Amino acid sequence: MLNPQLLEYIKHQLEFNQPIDFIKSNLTLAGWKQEDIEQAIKEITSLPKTNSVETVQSEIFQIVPKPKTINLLSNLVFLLALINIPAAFAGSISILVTNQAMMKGNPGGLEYSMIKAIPFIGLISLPGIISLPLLLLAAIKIRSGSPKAWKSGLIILIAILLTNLLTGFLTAALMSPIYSATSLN
Amino acid sequence: MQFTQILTPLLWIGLIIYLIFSKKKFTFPDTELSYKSIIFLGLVSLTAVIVNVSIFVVAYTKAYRPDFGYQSITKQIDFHLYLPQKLPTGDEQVSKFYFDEKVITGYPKAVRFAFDIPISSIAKGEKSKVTLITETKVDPSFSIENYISANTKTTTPLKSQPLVLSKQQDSFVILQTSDFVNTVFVKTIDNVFIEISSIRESTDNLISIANNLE
Repeated sequence: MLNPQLLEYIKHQLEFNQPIDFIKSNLTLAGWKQEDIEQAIKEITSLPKTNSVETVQSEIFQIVPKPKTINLLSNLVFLLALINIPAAFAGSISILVTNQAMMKGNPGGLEYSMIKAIPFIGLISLPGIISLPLLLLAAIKIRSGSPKAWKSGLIILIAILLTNLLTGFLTAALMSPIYSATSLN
Repeated sequence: MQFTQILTPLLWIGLIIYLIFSKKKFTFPDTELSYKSIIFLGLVSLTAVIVNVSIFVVAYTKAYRPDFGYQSITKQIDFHLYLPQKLPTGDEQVSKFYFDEKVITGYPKAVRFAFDIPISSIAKGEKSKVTLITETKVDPSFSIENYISANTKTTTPLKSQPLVLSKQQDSFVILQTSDFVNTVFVKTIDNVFIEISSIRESTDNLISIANNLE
């Protein structure tokens, strides 16, 4: 006996003019047996068409497991968010590490005096602070598997990659005067 | 660090390509963010903001309102700490008041502090011209000449000359110059020995600093 939900899913996809091969591959990825898929398609194509599919749409998506690709992509974006955590604290880390280096072996050293040379050092963290929740949001959204989630995920990834590259250059430019100042003097 | 710096952009670009090629898989209906997800994202954002802002506030406050430790150091010494009332143009205090046990042999409670051009000027390429001031209480029998001859070990020719300071006429003052370092030695009437030295600061400015000690 064929699964009625499988039949409804295929019917729905056909009504949206999805190619048979595409439906087959989606169902295969979702874990359905090849013979069940073939049999269901055969049965549906022999039946008269109906327009009552929208009502069962949500139920069908609930029972059809999402392709592994979607979960993998979501996990990878989550991994990127974890890797991006230090960027959210880059400014603070730079301040603490530089201060520690300047105070080492310097009993008269004034704490955090390098900030006077590079007052905008704190802004280094800003892109990281924004990108960390955005990446997590992308990871969560991608898991839904919607075309909208795909689009927003792609925009977030490209935007943050470009921002990180820009921040890297800015950090190097901001930090170089203090490094040269402390090494020359 | 190097490994992460290379791996992260590669992973990032690879993921973007993978996402582009997986477009056809995204056929499911869009869903709203769950309450748990919103709370999670809010907490992550808030933590990042709070940690950063806390560190910035502490660091910027300490940088722009530094504690030179004057109150602390004066409680630990039994002599008047002379401070220059006027500094060469553009100079500012660039160190705390701190004890340097080794600078004047036999006087572990010597207090030292430094003046220089601001670090922002050094970052712009100006040359540092640090002036170090060291002060300690000495015995009435302490002789600057003996101190100089015992402690000055250099192959560079030195010139020493006595000076009279307009504001500290009773002090005993010697200006020592060389190609390497210029120093003004002062022994005040209340037996405080002060050494003002700099590699790049002019002798006129060093004398001016000595003249403005109060």
